[in-house]
Amino acid sequence: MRALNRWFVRIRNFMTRHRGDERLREEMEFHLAMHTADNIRAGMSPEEARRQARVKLGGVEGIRESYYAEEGLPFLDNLLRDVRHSIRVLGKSAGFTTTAVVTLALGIGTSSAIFCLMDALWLHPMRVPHPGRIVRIFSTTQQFQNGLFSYPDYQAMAQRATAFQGTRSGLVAIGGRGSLMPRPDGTSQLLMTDVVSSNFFTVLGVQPLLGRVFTTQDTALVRAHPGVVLGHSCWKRYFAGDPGIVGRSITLLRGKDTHVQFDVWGVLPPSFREIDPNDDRCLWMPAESWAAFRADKDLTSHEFHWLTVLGRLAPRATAEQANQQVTAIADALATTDPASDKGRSARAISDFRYRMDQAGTTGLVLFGIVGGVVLLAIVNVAHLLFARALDRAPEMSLRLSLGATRWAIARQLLVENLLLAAASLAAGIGLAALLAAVLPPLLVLEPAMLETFGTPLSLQVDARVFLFASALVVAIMILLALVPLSQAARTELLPAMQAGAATRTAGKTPLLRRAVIWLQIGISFALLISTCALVRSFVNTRTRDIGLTRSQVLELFTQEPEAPMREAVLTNLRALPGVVSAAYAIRAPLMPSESGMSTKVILPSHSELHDPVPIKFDAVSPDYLNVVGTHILRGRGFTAADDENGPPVTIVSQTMARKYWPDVDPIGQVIKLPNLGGPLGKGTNVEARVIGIAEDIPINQIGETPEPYMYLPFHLMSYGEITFVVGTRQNAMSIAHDARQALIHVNPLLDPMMVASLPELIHYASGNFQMMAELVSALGVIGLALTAVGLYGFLAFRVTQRRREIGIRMALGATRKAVTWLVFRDTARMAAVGLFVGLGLELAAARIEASLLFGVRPLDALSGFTALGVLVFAVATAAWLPARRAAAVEPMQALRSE
Amino acid sequence: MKHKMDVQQGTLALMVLKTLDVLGPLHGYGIARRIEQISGDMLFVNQGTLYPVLLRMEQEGAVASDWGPSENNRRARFYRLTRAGHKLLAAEKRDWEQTAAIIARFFEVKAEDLA
Repeated sequence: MRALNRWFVRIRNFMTRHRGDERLREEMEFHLAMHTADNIRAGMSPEEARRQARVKLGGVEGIRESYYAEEGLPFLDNLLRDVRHSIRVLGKSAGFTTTAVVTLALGIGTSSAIFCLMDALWLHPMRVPHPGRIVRIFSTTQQFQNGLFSYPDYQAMAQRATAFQGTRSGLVAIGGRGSLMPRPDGTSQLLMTDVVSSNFFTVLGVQPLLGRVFTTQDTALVRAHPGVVLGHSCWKRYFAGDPGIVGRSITLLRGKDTHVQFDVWGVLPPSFREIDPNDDRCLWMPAESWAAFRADKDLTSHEFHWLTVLGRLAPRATAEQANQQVTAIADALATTDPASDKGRSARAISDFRYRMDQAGTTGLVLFGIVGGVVLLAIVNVAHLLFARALDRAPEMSLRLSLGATRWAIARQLLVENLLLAAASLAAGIGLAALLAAVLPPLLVLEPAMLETFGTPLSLQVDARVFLFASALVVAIMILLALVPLSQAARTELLPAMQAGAATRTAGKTPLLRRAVIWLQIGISFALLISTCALVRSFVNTRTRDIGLTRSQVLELFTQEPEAPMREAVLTNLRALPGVVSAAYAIRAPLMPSESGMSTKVILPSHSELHDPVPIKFDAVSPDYLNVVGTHILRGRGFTAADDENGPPVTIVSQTMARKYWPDVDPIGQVIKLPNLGGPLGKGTNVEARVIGIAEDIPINQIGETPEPYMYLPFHLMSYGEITFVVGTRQNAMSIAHDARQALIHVNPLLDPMMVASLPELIHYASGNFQMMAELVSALGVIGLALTAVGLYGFLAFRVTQRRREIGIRMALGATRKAVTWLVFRDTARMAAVGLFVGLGLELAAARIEASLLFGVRPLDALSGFTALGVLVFAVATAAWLPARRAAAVEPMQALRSE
Repeated sequence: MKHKMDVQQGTLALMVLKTLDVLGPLHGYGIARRIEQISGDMLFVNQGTLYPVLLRMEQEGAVASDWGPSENNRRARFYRLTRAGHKLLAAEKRDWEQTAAIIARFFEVKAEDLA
């Protein structure tokens, strides 16, 4: 209480700038007068009396000091004084201040913005309570580590796993499907649907915005009366945000014309759209309802792997324990049920790890490059502070000699740096917010006509980014304050003052500073090489032959109609103006609908393969490969004669041919296909003969590693889905409306779920390349600018430092040209070392970078020489002004002034 | 030569409290004189150090001060004990006596007492 009271008074004194000066003076005067009078009375002479009184009282200044210290808050007082002083000092050297702040702000701004981007793309945790406890469980095979589960496998896993918390079991399953909602005009709307286990919402902890979500208690109910929960955007878009929707029902289509009523249980909050950050689902349906509605076999089939499995770790369980447990369970299942699970295992990783893996190389490289730019910014500011510390050495000595403690000087330098940090932080965060606003439109988003319901990416500079940036910049500035501090601590008073600003010509720049320049040029060089390589790789994605035509092709994705209807659609499409060709396939490449189907085939030529191998495939109409521009490299393409009446045939991709028949002619080889549900009847094996080899195509992404792929005639296959492809003379999207009508005209149910043009899809599929090219070139330019500015600052300082030396040289007959050369030679020597550093950095990064490049090798000659040219130009530009200034030195003036 | 002691941390405040308790309101010089008298010149203290201590005690609310006329009719600052000051003095006195008693016992103890 007493202490509190005292602090209160002190703080009040500090705030009101209250000074008890007058009171103390008066009290001490009174004290002295009384004491002197007493001393006189005791028989001393007046002078002696006064002297004794003073001695007894003690040092007045000391008393005053401790009196002040008691009175207010001296620490804060000093701090305020330091702040005021620093502001004056920084204001006086506006050039230094601006350069330092702009440099740091660039570093902070770009790195924060990129961090926001990476966060939004990959790192953002699920919006559920304690997202750190969520793990993902994958079914694994020899080839594939991130496999999905069949429903029976999920159930078996869920019943046995104990490392997870939740009612009955902590494992939940979720699988993306599609539902069709009939429109009044006879067409239908595709609603992206997540089929989930009934414990999904309770285990993850998702609370509904309206109504309620289903739980494990509701399984019987939702089987008898199908129910759904609506996603937030879906509710806003298709149900006008109607708050009365809960308790009503919506209609979905089963097959082609059966209407099924679904009770709406609730609406999800906008914060939870999907388990993946950039997805958004319309309907959430319990698995039991889905089974009752569409196909029971989805829940009973051991072959159909379609479910993502998540779990919430039980208290005290770790992801590693969970991993061991699911692996053990899956291995046990594989032995008890070899028919379906042979060769399968499982693994569990934390959701965070999973998302980090998704960020993958792209994230790593981006992060590395941003780190490089931040490092450049720091190095630049370090330069500036070095130079300034040298410049201010006389000032420091003067202050020390006037009695300032080293701590007081250190404190002031710290305050200066922290002020700089605060200013850069403000500017940097402002820049980050600006970048966050302009970045998303620059990124390639899904083609406009794709009704996949994705939410546009929005970036936010949130508190975490701010804290991260603040911590970073404050740490840096404190660290950098140590430089002038050590300088100040070492300063020998007399020589420094005598020398003034003049004789600090100490011929050689300290190794540390030269190393910093090398590093700076090195980072910049490496950045430029990467920039060139990534830009060229992006250009390649737009110009190289990728196995698909770059001319206009429209793709329409819909439900599979009967054969006569397919032909009718083709006839309608071909009749449209501007259309040159039309064909169809199960799936056109790059459609973001699915990653491509695979089927297990037997290769009789490979007797060593005991088990069927899964091969990705497409079933196509005869003209299809021509329309999408995939060339037949050998053999022949499909013709109209390859129908039900002809022998089964297949075309394989180059990679497949190379992988399975490297030494023999693939043409004429036989591939045994299991019954694919085509008209040949169950149980029969189709023996398809290879008739041609097609070039590789990107199935999902441009730049992906080519996989074995095969094409079958469409009649061998029934899958329920179809994509019509239409080659056009004009912009494909311009006939999108007519083409859609052409389908609806044949049957309203053929209303396409997705319409996109192949150029758009290629554009989208190379989005990652574009993003990297754009971001990295921006960062490369910023990095180059920082390097140039830093180098300029360094050289300008060097020239000032060497003015006297230059003056002497000129007095001794050096020409201005020779002096200019002096500066350039100095620069060239440093740049040369820097280039080697850069080359080393790039070599180290090459392996990682290689996977991001398309058609370019990292460190190829063209990129290297382009980068070299740009860098040499920048370095020369940075050296030009200082060199001119050196040449302009007037020898007499230089010598006299020093 | 008399041995002079430095004032121990905190004891000066206690002396001030006790002085004000016994003598009523006093100015700084008066307090200093009394302390010197009572301690019998055995304390070595710069009288000036009294003022920061007084200020501190005033901020803590143990003493209050006002301007008033001194015995020779000059303006002087008079310090007096507040109620909180009285309580504080009582508490400090108790503490001090306890400490002193304990220390005293340690000095009195002989080896055979502990056998």
